[in-house]
Amino acid sequence: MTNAIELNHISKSFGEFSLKNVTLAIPAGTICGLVGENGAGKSTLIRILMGALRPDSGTAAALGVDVSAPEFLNAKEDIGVVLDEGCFPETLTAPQVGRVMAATYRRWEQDTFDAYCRRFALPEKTAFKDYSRGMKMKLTIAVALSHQAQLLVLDEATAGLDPIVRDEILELFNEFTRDETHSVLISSHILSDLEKLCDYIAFLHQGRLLFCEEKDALLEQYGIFNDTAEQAEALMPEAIVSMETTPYGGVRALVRRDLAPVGFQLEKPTIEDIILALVKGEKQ
Amino acid sequence: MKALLLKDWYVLRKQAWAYLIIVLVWGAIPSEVLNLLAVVYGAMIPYTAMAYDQRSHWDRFARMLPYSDRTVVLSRYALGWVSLLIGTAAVTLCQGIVSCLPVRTEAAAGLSPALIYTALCVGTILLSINVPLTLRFGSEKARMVSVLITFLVFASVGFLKGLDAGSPAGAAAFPALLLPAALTIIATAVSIPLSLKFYRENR
Repeated sequence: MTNAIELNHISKSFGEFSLKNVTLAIPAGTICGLVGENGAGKSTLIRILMGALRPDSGTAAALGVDVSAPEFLNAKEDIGVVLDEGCFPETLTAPQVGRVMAATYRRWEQDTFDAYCRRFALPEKTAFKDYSRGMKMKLTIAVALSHQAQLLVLDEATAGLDPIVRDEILELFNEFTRDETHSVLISSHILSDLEKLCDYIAFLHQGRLLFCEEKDALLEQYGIFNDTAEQAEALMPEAIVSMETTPYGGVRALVRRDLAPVGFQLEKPTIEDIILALVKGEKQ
Repeated sequence: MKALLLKDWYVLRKQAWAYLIIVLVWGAIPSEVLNLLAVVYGAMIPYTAMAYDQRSHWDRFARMLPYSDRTVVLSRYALGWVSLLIGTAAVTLCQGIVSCLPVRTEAAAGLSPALIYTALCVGTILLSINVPLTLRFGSEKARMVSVLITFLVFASVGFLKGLDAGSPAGAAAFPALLLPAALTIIATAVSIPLSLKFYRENR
């Protein structure tokens, strides 16, 4: 299987922020969720991946093309981008955005774009600055899905959308990857969305990639221990990723299943449980 | 390039009418300073477009779209050149009409064609200064450049008039007109690679 995205030993620092030696590979035909707190480096990583920011060291490739190579200009035709800021000029209306994008992408599909605009009920005469955040995201998503992209790079694309629309959008992304050559990289704070959508989860914390693993393997790897402190003593210290006392006097811990005693009762965690526990574990 | 110019047109469309009216009014008023400013004003348009781009973060987004660095940079110049030509055409038209009026006085004589041509060259040179500075320092810091441009325009009126008065008429004027053209070409030839360098370095 070829990789849709490959980042090798990427480092970048400006001011107090630094992205440290990030190596990541996302197979084609999969959806990868990029998770991390504010300032973890998600947007920086996406900018490097799109060739919009030059790393201090390391290499990045998308759809098999090095992003620093001149050929990447052509590869950008196959990449749909959605940024959290909704970056169209403020005075443009949806049809004007469509006309600008028609002159931008060689394989622009006006009918597809118009259909998405209707589906998302985007007003034709309203300027982009007067759109709600949700409408701005929808217009940007409509553009990203209207030029036969093979890879979608989405930075907080579902932020600010109500749960119903979010679900609709997530379904669109799912539909997009039914074609096995299509891939998605999506950064989000909404971990439940990523759990629903993604095949892979990459966790960026303070500029370092803590892991990039298959979601199912990740969920298999850990378990939640929820019992008394006495019971917790049966666990090896190496098995405990993080532990906290509950308001009812018990303890709750994220535990590595392979290091837990056989037959030990562990609950199935969510991605959110794992991410939060890893961050807390690091602090502890 | 077409996409970027179309985007600029949509962004600046409302101001474009105001710009045209200002240029026509300044071009018709019997004041050399205003006539000159009407021509040179076009050099400011790309600066305005870049300020809008930065405010909406379009500049950041555009780097992720299939536009080459050269296309993005040249589109800034193309917008400036078109604006300068519109300003020049408007002032020439106004001056032509004013010169036909029966009440024409010495004060209302306005700019000669040679001076309009020189003003166009000055505008193009200012554009060549403006674009790389805005790409290097951003529109906020480059605002100082706009103050400088205004100052230069006003300060250059006497100098340009002197050039115009001292220049020979008819075919003999041709060599004298080559100097502004040569300076404009040199300034543009230096400015475009510099802008490209600054645009790439801002990555």
